[in-house]
Amino acid sequence: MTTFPSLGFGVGLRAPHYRDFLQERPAVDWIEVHSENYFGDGGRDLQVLERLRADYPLSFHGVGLGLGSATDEFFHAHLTRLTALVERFAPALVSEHLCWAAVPGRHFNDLLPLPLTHGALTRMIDRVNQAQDVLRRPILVENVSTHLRFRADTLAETEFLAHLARSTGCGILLDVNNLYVNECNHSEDARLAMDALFGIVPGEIHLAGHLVTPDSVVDHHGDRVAPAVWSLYEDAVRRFGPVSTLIEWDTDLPALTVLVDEAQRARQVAQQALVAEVVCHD
Amino acid sequence: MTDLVREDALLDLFGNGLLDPRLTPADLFQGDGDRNARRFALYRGNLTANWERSLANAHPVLQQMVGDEFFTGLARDYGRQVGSASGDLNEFGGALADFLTNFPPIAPYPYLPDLARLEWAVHRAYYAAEEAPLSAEVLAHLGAAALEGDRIRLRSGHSLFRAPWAVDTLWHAHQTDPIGPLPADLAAPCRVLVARSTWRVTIRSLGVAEWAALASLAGAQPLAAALEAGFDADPEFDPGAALQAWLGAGLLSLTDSRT
Repeated sequence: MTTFPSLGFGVGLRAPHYRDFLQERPAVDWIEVHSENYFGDGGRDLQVLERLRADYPLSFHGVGLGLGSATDEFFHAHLTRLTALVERFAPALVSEHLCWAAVPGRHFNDLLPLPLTHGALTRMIDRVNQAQDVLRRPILVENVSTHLRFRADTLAETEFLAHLARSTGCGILLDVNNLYVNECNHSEDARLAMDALFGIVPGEIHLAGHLVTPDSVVDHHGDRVAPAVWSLYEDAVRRFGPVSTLIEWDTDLPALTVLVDEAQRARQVAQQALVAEVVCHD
Repeated sequence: MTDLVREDALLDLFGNGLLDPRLTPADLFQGDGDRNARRFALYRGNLTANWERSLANAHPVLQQMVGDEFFTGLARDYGRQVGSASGDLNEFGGALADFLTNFPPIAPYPYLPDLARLEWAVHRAYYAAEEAPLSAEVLAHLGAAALEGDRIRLRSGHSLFRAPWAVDTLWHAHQTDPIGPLPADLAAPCRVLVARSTWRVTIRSLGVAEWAALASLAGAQPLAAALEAGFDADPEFDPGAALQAWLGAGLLSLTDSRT
């Protein structure tokens, strides 16, 4: 099983917080950015990242590669740009999603749900292998939240991810909030979903807020982590031990101190979970 | 790769439903069809919101000029008809000016395509490569021969833009801190230098002579020939003063000096 560095507790770096980050160097262990926001040849985003890289381990989290897409049309060009970025910054972690994004002639720029079938698994294995060959390093692949599940599905999502990790040596980025959202949306048991990883330890955990709407729970990354998700996180730390943990926030971005506070809370929850685990074993 | 006909057909149907509500493939999914249709609409909403946010990010002045409601509809039409061809949404919108040229609702406002073109040039400048500016000291060190060579170029992040409309004045008047009033007459041609220093992008309107000089330089002519082109365009053009100003503003670079 591929192992990934344990970075501690980090937050997603977003442009409105650049100034705070540069002036204050807040007390978080690491930062994660959306890879595509740094695909330019130059400009402020890259300038800021160059200044912060000395103080924080970096993680590049992609949202546009479309590992499960129905076409290769955009894949190779996107991978080439990602590779240039990864070679420049040598980040601690590189990740993408278990999703699709494009059909021939058109990119949808979203994390769309894949049919969880053996056919789709074969395609994902092929694309993850290609990505890792070009990047010359293992990547992490994240479980996504979805509003819909295909009738054609024959695998559970984390089962799919476990097969993918075994076949390619990729790691798993476990988004605990997404597990919870899918539990609400599809009556899937989030703890059984973690069981289906068959002992594979995630290389990274994501935590974020969600929004309950009448039709669906939306993974909007616009709120504090919900109590039920903290409880699942505690469970995850008990199972997997300390894993690099990230607070994601994208919608209605609050002051940076709120994100730092959430990362601090994650640290406390993880520490308590680990202490409780030792007590149980004794 | 295994035969993925069935999976590809599912993604195709999904994609068609994203672009046209009448094609919502509610039956592909587990659970109640009506509920699935409402949930599918959330994906459609994400798509149009991404289109609008990305277009607005690159075209804030256009958005102010046409108003939010019109802009929302424009983003939807552009997204459906042209769409995205990159996993990087910062590249979404490069064809908007051409799209507007053939977009009947804006026919009464023939300057809007050029405004979109200017905003796109500004947007691209933001992401241009870093390049060290050529200093007066380095230029002096290079000697006179450098003026006749092809190593002195317009620096990365700098580009020239011209249009038959006063979209430069329009652009300035719609900045957060407006620079000058709205143009009295829109039907006046503009010649503009788009320039990025550190990370801020500005535009500067150019006179005929400076335009001729910089256009010559952008056309890969030597610096000496470019300065001459300025003088040819207007005998009042002072090549020495122009060069000092360009060096001071970091407008020039030496090729092979990209970092």
